[in-house]
Amino acid sequence: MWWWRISETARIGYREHRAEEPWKITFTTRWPRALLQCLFFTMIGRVVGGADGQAYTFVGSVAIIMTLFAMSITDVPIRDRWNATFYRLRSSRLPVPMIYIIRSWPAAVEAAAAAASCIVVVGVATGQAALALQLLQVIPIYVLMAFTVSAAALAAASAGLFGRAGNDIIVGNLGQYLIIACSGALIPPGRVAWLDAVGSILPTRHGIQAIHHYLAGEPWLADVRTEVVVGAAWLTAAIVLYSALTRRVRHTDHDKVT
Amino acid sequence: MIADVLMTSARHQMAMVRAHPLFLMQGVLMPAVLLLVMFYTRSRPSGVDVTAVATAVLLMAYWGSTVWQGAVILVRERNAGTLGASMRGVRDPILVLTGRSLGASLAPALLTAATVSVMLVALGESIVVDAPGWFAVGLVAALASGTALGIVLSSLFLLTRYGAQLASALLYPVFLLAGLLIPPDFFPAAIRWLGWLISLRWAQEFLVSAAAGAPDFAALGLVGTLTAAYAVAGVIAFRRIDTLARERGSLELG
Repeated sequence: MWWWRISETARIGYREHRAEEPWKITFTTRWPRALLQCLFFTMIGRVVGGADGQAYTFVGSVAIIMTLFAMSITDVPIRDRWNATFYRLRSSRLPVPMIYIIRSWPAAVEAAAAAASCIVVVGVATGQAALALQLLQVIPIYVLMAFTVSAAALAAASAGLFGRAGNDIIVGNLGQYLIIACSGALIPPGRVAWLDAVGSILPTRHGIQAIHHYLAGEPWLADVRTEVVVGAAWLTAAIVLYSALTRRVRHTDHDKVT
Repeated sequence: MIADVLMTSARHQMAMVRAHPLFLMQGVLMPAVLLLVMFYTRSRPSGVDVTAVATAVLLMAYWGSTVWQGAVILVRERNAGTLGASMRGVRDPILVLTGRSLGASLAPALLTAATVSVMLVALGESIVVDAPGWFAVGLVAALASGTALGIVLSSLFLLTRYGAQLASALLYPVFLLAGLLIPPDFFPAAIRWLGWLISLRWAQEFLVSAAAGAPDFAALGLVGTLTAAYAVAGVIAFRRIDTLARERGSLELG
């Protein structure tokens, strides 16, 4: 019956995602925002670096917008805090970290779909249709980044489950701005040492480099592998954090979640 | 008495804004990251117009704060269960809302200005302001404009349960069309005119011209005109909320 438990958890994840973000809101606010943000950062590249700068920032802007969708994962555990339902997860047959991982799937899938639409729409709008076609060939790398950034968001979301209310907002936004500044999406690696150092452990950094290397005809698989490792590390961090939090609640029976 | 109500409301809102987790995000992180992007996306020296970039980043972060703090004043009141009492208070609720919107604009504006100043020092850049008096007038005009927009948006956001999503969707159209960092001629003529309706665009033109020592008073006039239009729209929107809540009973006040 494990498959039934997993599919039911996935179904709940989808239903609560749709309750929070109905299709009407998705298509009238979230996706337009993603497209406009992608357009904005792509055009920043043109302002600062001309056509070459625009091509560079286009590749990274598509990755950046995925953080918008991954951010909604911070709402997944926080809902249990608002609704005082965490104690029910503790009695579940599925481990708590697994429940949160499964319930997060809609955000990751939506992030990947939004990235694909940004490639097409922003590519055409900024006169980079040829580059957009090349980026569509590496869509699996963007899909990979959608999952690595979602893993990091899930780990960060644990901050919202315990401690001060609003921690999830701080951690989520901090992660988003760190990725904009340090992932190499807009500021090429090698310009500022500390941005590079922070970026090396952030999701999307190595995926973006893999795409740049692919476009330049250089070896790119090593960067993809590093992106997988970074994503796996964030997923492990999420599992450890939720396991530790669950254990703490079980031992002390004192938490702010129930 | 009016000044007293405005100041008390503004002080109250500033305390609330400072306690909100987005305060530091919008006032520190956003301008800092935008400045890093503008100065480091190309090799140093980046060759960008420092004054134009600094004022643009200041106004963009300010717009972000207006959307996330000013626009949700009434929604937060409803969530806290105090909106009904505020609407029936002894003081004119529109006056209280104006004061609160001012507070929601002022606190982030001060923090953003401090962040931009510190970042410019850290990046080894500086701006020269040849007409500091007029530059200050431009900043006050931008503050007034944000206050007026806060009133309009605050009332409109009360009509939807998706205020956060709406706020998030409002950011980038203004970032793009106001011509703050991206020149208006990057866009087709058919949509370029939309930027003329955004007061921050004219505020930036005035600030840059004042910094250069030749204030563009036409731009300042347009900031004033648009701010007045926003304020009128804000009062109309708020009266509409009042009607829906008290006469028709179709709006829940919490």
